Amino acid sequence: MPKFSIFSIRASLLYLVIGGSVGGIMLVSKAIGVWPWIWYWRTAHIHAMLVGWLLNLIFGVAFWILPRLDAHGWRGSPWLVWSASGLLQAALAVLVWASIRPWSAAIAIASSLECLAAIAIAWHCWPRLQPLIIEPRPAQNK
Amino acid sequence: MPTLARYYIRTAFVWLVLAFAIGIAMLTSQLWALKSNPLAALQIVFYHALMVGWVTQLIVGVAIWLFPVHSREQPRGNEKIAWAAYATFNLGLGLRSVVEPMLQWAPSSLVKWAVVSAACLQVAALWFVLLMLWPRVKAKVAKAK
Repeated sequence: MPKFSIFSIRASLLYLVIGGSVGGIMLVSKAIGVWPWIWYWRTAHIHAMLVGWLLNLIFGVAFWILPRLDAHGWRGSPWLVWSASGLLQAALAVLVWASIRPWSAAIAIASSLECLAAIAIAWHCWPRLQPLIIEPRPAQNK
Repeated sequence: MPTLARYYIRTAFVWLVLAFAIGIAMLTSQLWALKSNPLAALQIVFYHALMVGWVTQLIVGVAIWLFPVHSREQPRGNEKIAWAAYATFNLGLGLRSVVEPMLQWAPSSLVKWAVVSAACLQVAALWFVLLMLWPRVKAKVAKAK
């Protein structure tokens, strides 16, 4: 598994646990009426699960498993996937910050960063979505 | 496909069917034109059945199957953790699906503490998933010549 995939998949697992734990606290709050402030974290919970968990996982697995670009196993320039990941983490950081200190522009900024991340990952994956090319074996000399 | 992965993936399909059944019930109930629709309480259950029961459980099942093996002796890592994750995941989500709408329909202290238990089970399940999959997210080990 390449370095980027290890980073992205491990980040996705952390988002799953952190986002899920926030969801668990929200459920406890709903049941017994404690910690009402946790409801400010609802948007962060949804984004941690849908973007942090699912998109990071998809980015990591796509980089690892999509067809390679040449016989040496070249996956394409990694700067695009690292940029996509950086934009995604920045979007999530904006949302978490906005949960702590409400900020009206946060959703617009985070969504724009997520959109740029989507463009970057699509740009990287596009040339790798190709049919399997099986080259003919070299002719044997008899 | 390992037994563990089959359990996860088959149970994910059960949650997919349940999610759609809940979705159908909610949509159908809108035709009754009631002043307050009691099935609206199922909306949160529908989202979680779909995103946690179906999507997340399917991903974990496929990851157990396809991620790099942990070691020759324990290819899927510690299977006890994986089974604990499976049990807590489905018990937590199942209990939550039953008791969370009851907070609106028939709230009682028993229901409230059942919701708290469901939350604890679900959070525990996610930590077990992390413990199970983390060591399997790794670079390919070069074979010694």
